[in-house]
Amino acid sequence: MPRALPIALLLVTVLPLSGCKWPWQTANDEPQAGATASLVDSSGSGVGPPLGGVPGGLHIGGEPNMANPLGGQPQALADGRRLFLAMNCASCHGYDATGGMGPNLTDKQWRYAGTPAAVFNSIAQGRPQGMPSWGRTLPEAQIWSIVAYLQSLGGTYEAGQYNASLEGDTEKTLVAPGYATVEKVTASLNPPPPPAHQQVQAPSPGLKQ
Amino acid sequence: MRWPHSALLAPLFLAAASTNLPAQHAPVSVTNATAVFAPNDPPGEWHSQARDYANTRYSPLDQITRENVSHLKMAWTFSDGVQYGHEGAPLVVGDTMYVVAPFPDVAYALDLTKPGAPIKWSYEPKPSQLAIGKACCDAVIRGWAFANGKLIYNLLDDHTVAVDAQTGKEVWRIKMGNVEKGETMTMAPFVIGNKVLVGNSGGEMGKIGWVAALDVDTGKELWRAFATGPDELVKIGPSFKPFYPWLKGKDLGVSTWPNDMWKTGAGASWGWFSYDPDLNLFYIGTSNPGPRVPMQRPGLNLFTSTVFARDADTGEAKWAYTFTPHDQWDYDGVNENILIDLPIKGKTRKVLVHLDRNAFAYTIDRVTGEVLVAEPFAYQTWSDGIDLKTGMPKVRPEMEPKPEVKLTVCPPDIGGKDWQPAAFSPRTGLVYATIFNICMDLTDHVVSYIAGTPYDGMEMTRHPGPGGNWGEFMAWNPATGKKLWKIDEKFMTMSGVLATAGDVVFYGTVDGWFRAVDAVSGKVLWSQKLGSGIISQPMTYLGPDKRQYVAVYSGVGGAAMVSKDMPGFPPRGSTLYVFSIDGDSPASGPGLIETDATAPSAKREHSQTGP
Repeated sequence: MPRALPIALLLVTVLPLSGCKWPWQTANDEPQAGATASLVDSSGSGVGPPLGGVPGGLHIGGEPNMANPLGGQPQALADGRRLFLAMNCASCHGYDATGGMGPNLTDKQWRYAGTPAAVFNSIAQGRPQGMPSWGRTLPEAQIWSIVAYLQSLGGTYEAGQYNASLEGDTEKTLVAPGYATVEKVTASLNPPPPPAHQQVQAPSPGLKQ
Repeated sequence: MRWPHSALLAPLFLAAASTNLPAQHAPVSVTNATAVFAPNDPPGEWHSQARDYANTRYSPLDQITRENVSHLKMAWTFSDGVQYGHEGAPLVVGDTMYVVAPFPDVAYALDLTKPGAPIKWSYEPKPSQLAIGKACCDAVIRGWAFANGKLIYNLLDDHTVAVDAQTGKEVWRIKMGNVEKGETMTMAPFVIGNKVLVGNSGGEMGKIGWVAALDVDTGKELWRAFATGPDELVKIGPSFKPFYPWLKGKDLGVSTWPNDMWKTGAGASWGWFSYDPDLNLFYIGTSNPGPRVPMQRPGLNLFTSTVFARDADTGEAKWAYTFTPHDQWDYDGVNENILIDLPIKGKTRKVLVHLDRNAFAYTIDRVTGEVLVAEPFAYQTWSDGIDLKTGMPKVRPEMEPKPEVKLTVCPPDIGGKDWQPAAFSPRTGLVYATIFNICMDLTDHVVSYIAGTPYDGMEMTRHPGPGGNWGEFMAWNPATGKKLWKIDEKFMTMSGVLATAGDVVFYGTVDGWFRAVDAVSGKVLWSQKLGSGIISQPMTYLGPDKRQYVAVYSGVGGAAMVSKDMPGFPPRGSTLYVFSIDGDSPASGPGLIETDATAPSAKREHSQTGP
């Protein structure tokens, strides 16, 4: 019902936080203020997945590597494409998502990392060069469906590939054999990564004699 | 300071090529059109983007002629390091050149009295980078202005700034709009006396369009006129006398829209102002209507895709003419209006010449708004012409897009010509323009208004029109509505045009060719490949050495990116190129630096130089 859509979606501009159900919502959807990819980990530390590399050489597991909870469900792809048009994503990023006013979403190049969770965060939080923040407007499930649609276009990184995304590695990237040696040698400069529920340690101040 | 030989010889060279001698084979004017060159700035300077109020972009300099232009070579260059599209023209006021780079809109003053034109000062306004994601067509700046010792320009994030031209310090900054809501500013401000006129961008973002006048010295806003809405907002009052009946009536800026859609109706004024000091009227166009899905907004959608004649003191509208009422293809009405006095059908009339996005070239009586000529200058399939009796286009019904149905139509959204301005030569009486030969496959999708996001709905791919060339440079007779000659270009041509008294006209291509053309015959006399595509406006000036230079920015971007998948399409660039005959200038040659090897022998102490 395309004609109903414009009027319905005009509500978006006047009822941002009222908690009213949007016309396209199902019974299970609820908009959440500040929705992000399950930012709070189970220990309650409250620190969300980082946007950049983590100093001290910690390898990040957990939330940034989480899979899209909607998986590859066909309904999610259809919803995602519909929302990609309805929320005007296509007008900025192109009807084929190859870019325009906003960047190309199909080319494995991501300013803010390209795992499903990282892309979720960019949509939910917005980004400084004009990407709007949708987390207060769209329920989490709808944002995940948009992510699912983008994943189907082939330009995102796989879940679990957060560091690869930060480090510029795609699946075709070879790894030089000496790389592992360098990592081992430099890892000995720092304590091993603490369990997730502990505080982040500062790196040791230098080589031990 | 030491000057190289060639600069010392320059005055002798100039004495021989005195501007008082008539040029060889001086052209016979085809139209006998004339122009007023007010404010009559010094001939060797360039104080505003269009050089004069009439927007002729014509320079009286004639050291560079059809005979010697093939000797043009690079004299010096300046890179601002910014990779967004470069669209503006440098200004030269006195002995200083002023340029503003695209976002983040850093301004530079270059000292032309010193070799290499070093930077005198730079000013960093630090605009909000949110604006980058709200600009439809690249983070560009289309020009800057100079008035009362101040450089005045718009930041992409909706602030207008004035900078002290001597010191580079900010004098005032005023907030004109809200970038969060999807509004940006890209246009070149236009100075009339103590007022500077500015307008917004946002035709694709559902932002209501406007023009405003600011006080040059304080930045204070004096008035603002909108493109849609009740008469009070559009500044339509008792002195409004449009020529055509369908433009007369109360609050047409509301009644020609469904419901309240005029509030998101766009009509942004992101293009060029021109001004007639005798009539005290300025002329400014408005953009396409929003949303870009016409089926959602039945009605004439006034006053989008329109040229307004407004009183320069009060902003009150005197007349208006809508080029494409109920525009269905994104044919903005913002292109420049060149003011000339033109003999037409036995009478000399004050007209404006306007090559519109809709592929029609209009000659309009600028006193009354009557359309005298409206002929296609580029390939178009959307209409069967403009009915001169009614002033209305005859739209082909099969060319009206319906949502979800693919349609091929020419010209595309960016038109038969976009904002890139044409020039007028009073010597040939002709208008010269770079135009497009492009068509689009269009599918409309119904859209909703979400503030801060596009209110758009046009899914398009573009391809060249008949002949396969994307671009064309041509000479146009505004009295007869006929093309005299043309030069087809494989790549898009989206540069401004420079006309000169040497009877040379200049233009550039999107693949980086800068060309000099015989203004009479259309013969290409000289070409030079630059580092990136050219979408800026060439200009010319006299240096302190009294030599004529031609300057143009290279740096592709903007709407030229619709052709970016062409093989050989250039990467981005950020370089200003300055040319002179033989490349002579104080910026190159021997003797520009004192070294030991050139110092008196008493200074030499190194044993390597021998006994």
